Amino acid sequence: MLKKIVIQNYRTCLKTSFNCHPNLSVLIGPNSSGKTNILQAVMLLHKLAEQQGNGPVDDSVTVSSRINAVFSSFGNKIRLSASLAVHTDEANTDNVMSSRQTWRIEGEKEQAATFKGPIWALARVQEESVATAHFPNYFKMYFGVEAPPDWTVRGLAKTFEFCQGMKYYGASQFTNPGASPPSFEIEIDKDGGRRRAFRLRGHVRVLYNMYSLFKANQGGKYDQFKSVVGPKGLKLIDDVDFKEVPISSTDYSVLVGGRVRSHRRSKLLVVPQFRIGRQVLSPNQLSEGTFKTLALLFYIITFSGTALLIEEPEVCIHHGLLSSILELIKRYSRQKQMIISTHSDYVLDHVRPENVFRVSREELLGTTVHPIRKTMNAREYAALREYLDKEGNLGEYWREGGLEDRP
Amino acid sequence: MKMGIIAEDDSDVVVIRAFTLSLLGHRRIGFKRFVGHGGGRVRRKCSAWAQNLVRQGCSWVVVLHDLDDREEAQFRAELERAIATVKAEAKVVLLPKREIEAWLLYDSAAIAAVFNSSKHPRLPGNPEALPDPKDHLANIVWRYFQRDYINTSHNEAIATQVDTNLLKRSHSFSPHFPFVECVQRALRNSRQANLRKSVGGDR
Repeated sequence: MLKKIVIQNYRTCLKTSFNCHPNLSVLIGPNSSGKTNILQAVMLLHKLAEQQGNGPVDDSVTVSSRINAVFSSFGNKIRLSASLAVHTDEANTDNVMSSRQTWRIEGEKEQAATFKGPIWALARVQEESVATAHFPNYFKMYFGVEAPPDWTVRGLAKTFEFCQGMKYYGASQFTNPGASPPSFEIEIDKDGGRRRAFRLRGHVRVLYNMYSLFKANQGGKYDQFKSVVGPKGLKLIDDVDFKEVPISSTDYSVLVGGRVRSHRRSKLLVVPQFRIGRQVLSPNQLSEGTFKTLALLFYIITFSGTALLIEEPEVCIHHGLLSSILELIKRYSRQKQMIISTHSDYVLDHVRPENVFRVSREELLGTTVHPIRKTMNAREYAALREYLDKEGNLGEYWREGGLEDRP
Repeated sequence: MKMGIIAEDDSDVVVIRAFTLSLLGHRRIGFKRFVGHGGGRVRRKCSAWAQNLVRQGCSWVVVLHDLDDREEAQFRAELERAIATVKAEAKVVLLPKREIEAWLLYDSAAIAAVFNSSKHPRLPGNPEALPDPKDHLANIVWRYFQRDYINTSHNEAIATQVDTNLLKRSHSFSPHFPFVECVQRALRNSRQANLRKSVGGDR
């Protein structure tokens, strides 16, 4: 679980410290205060876990951003201090090009140890079932660093899983479902096993994820999703099905000597079909609100990761439906940590003051984030409590200026 | 004829509506509502909302508010004072101990029926003593039926199936029985008056 993150020199986060709630944190603040940047910065932890270069980290890399984070895992407090070189591509996707990571593990029995290496090394050790006795040589040989002590490995590996298991949902990814293709192709292995489709983004990605779960239906998650969105749940759609059409294509390559070799590829054309009443609709016929709500619910319900970061869950969603979604967010936040950003007072009406964090930005300080409890003195907080008990809602209090300290 | 409901959430409104219809033998009456999305707003706006409901033509008014840790007699008196001047035929203040979902936890057959199962979940002897009935119901739904409980959809479905006789055990629901009897009497009187009018008209 992520307890705290300090972000330095990342977009508007000059030195932003965020002590997150263990279950649900709700970020509020004006436009361009840096809410999205905080979410993106938290996602850098995920990028850090994914950044699997070969061999040791190059110390000479120019460092542009810095992240300090505190995690809790198996009763250990795990501190990360990382310098990152972040490259943001034209699609506004961050890539961690290199990093220097120092992990400090503080055990329950006042033990402490430091590991100066990439966190993903722990996963590699587990994947390759390296015996504990061989750790020192393995880490020296492959990563050029000292191995972490045995007692820290479980906590570090769990922290790696946490970082790897983060997911980001932004409603803007699913704007204009009309742009979604009505079908997509996947390749099939020779043995008939399905192969992953690559470079999927936006609409197709969520459709592909739905299809994959539809085929696997591990732990009944797909049925669970359908029961929530279906006629006995939120009544968004009546059913969703995926028609599979086998197709094939042949690639040719010319070898030396002029011989031509052909490669036959087996593919499946997957056609998602959403049934609403008597109509069967393609994804590009769904309204933006329906598509976004389906995507959001799909990730809330079926995502089995560790943390879900949601940017403005309220976008394009009717308030009646939104209250159901917020109930689900609150419930699932007990299973996976959730951080959401919002501009909606309606969202605030459904959460407790201890879940709410105020984000603001000043020229010299950059983005700052504080739990609203900390932005108030005892008297102000008591006044808020009394207001919530006798007068109105948190969203209303916010809208009417009660949570702001200046006009 | 219409009934006005003032509650914290829509999921509360649908429950009281379903119970009322069930107690009235599914007579056709209309419903209007105001929801506060939280208790504080209900307390502040209760009086104005009740007046508005009567202006909209509601003959009866129900006010629902979770009691939580408040002193019952005092809190009931406060809400009753708020609607005292409202000219409705009958008014009632219902104060579920924690959450309205406790009322749904009186009937395991109703819960099982909504999730198409013959397996009746084991329910607590006194659901109103639960600290978080909504959470308890969600856990039961997950444990027994592997489904996500969504209060906005499932509350109404369960409430429609609940045997209202079982709610006689509920302390917080008990004021609703005499209230519904008032409504029944008024409906009967209105029907008889209509009948007399039509018979008189025929003569």
